[in-house]
Amino acid sequence: MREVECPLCGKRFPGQEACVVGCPFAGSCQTLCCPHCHYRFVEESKLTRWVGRLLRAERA
Amino acid sequence: MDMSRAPDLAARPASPPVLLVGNPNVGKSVIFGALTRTYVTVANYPGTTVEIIRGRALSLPGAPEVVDAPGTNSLTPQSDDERVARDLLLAEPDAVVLQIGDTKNLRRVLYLTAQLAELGRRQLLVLNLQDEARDLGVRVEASELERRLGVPVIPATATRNAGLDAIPRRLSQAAVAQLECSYPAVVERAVLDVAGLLPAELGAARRGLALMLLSGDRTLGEWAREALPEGGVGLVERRQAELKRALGIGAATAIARARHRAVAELLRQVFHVQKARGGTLRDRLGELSMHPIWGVPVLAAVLFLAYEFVGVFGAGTLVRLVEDGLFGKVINPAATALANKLVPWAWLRDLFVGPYGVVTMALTYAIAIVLPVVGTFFILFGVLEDSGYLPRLAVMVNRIFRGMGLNGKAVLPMILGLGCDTMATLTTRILPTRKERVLVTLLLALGVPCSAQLGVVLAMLGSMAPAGTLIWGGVVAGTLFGVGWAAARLMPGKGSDFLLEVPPVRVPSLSNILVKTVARTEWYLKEALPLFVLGTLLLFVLDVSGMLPRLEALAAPLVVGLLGLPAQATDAFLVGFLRRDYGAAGFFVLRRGGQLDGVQSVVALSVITLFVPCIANLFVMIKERGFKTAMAMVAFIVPFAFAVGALLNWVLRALRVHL
Repeated sequence: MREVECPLCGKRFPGQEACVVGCPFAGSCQTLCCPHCHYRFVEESKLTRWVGRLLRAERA
Repeated sequence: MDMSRAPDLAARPASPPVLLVGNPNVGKSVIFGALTRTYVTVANYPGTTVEIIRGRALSLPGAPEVVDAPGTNSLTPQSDDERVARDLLLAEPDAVVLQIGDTKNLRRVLYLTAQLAELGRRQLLVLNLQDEARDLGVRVEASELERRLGVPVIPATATRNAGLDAIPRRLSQAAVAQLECSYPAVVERAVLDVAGLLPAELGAARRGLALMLLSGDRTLGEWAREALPEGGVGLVERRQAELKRALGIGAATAIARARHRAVAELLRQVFHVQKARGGTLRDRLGELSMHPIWGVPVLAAVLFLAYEFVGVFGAGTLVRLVEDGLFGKVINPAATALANKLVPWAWLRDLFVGPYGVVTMALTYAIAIVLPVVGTFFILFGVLEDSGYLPRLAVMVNRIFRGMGLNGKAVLPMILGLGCDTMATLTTRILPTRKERVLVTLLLALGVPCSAQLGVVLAMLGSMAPAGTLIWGGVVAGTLFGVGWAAARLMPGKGSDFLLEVPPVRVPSLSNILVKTVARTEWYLKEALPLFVLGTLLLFVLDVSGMLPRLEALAAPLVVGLLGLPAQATDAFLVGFLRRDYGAAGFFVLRRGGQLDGVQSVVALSVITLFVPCIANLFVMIKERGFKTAMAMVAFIVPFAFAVGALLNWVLRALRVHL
């Protein structure tokens, strides 16, 4: 289960279980909602996961 | 709303249902998800907008139905959510209560346990968030707590799936907690009197209900009139008055104090905190940033950095590089040459590379002007999130909100609105009453600039004297405070507390910020670019059909006369209805072209900031608040924005201000 960290309260939660709602003008642009503090933020996309992997590889 | 995906959910299983009860934000939903996997239904609780999630727990013996009750701090409700949680408990008398608690906040957990015990409810207690408690040096003796309460106590960290396997094993051991509160003798006598009037079929719940009635729980009024015999309500009121005379305080206070004493006594036995060593520089900085006085210079420093980084570097250096260099010298000339070569019709060429062309206007505005500005703003926002400053800002704003008489929970949507007002409007669901949800939706739509717009606004303000920033900030903040204050007076009532755990101050991680910036930039392009193209097409059609000059002439008394802006500003206002940042970008171009002086820029920015954020936000407003309410808000916001702009123009001109 993929865990994500809330950018506001810093708590971790399983990404799949958070409330996910998309903007009506960008169906594929989803946002996640932290179940602890209700902060909403943009869900990771393929591109951001790729950038993340690239940065981790660079650091290693 | 019904999102059922499990065909057999309609049939009620033989095992008694399991009711998940707990304080807000303790991980109930995560545990609900772990018990039910994906087979859930979501429906509004009858007569409310509070959503109740139900599912079948295939992992529990007998596959009982599981109901996720809204978070509540007490069974004496202060909000719609808390009332629904209490009503669910009363409506499901046979349900086994699975109480979920935050180990770090055991006091709040046990207060609720005491009330559940008074209702005679069989329960288990899951002490969740063990990992966070450990990090804070909190230790709870679970076995001792279990021995004293007489109910299964299960330590867990739900997000890591730790400890949850004990729930199916121990479900059959559910029992009524032995957490007795010593109420004064007069209270006990009154409880006996009132409980004696309640129907016998309520069984052990009569004691808890009698305590609720004596506490003056008004939400039970209708139920009490039906449940009590004739004259029963009068007797409850007499007993309340007698208790007040005898105790010198209200019955509710006396009852709550007795519960707190019982909980404190139990805490002394099982709850231990290892004191942290002296604070580091980061801890002290974190404290300063939340301080009601010292927090202000910290905020000023953050705003100054934002102004320099976004307004000067992003809007100056980066926009020059991308707009003048990439678009001005490469993309637009190449697109124009290509269109001249391939497209024989002038109107079609104009559609792509004319004054209202998709390439020369929509793409240039979105990518060459707004993107460098919002990109730098996204980097800054990422730093604020990652450093832990944003939650501290929320705590600061909460103090201001309390002064205005607003619910502390409103802070989160307002802070979130600085990222995206559409997301923030969705978050207003966390507010307990419809009035508060309407008010915060209005304030968000009226005066909280989203990241894209704030970036463009900072870009324009960066090109003028600092007084311009102060005037714009003063107008927007003053409007928010004024409308918020007036609305809070129109809807008096006790606001609920804003509970947010503030994470430690951290050094931001570069890779984290880069990933977040990429995510937000991708999201911005997906959402904004289509609307920029749509707005440009609208202007193109109006221009080709000859309507645009007529509209400009029609709007002239308002735009030119009252606001003191050039007629071309009408174009920016027109696209501003689609997205405020697109409108602001239009003013940015006019300013760079020397067509707006300082005063005109501040007036234009103030009006566009007070517009409805974007068409996506409008749709979400309609979805969340209903068509009539959303339209009423628009009908207030648009004329109000122009009226504020006209007044500002008049005042600045009268005072002969030069910016």
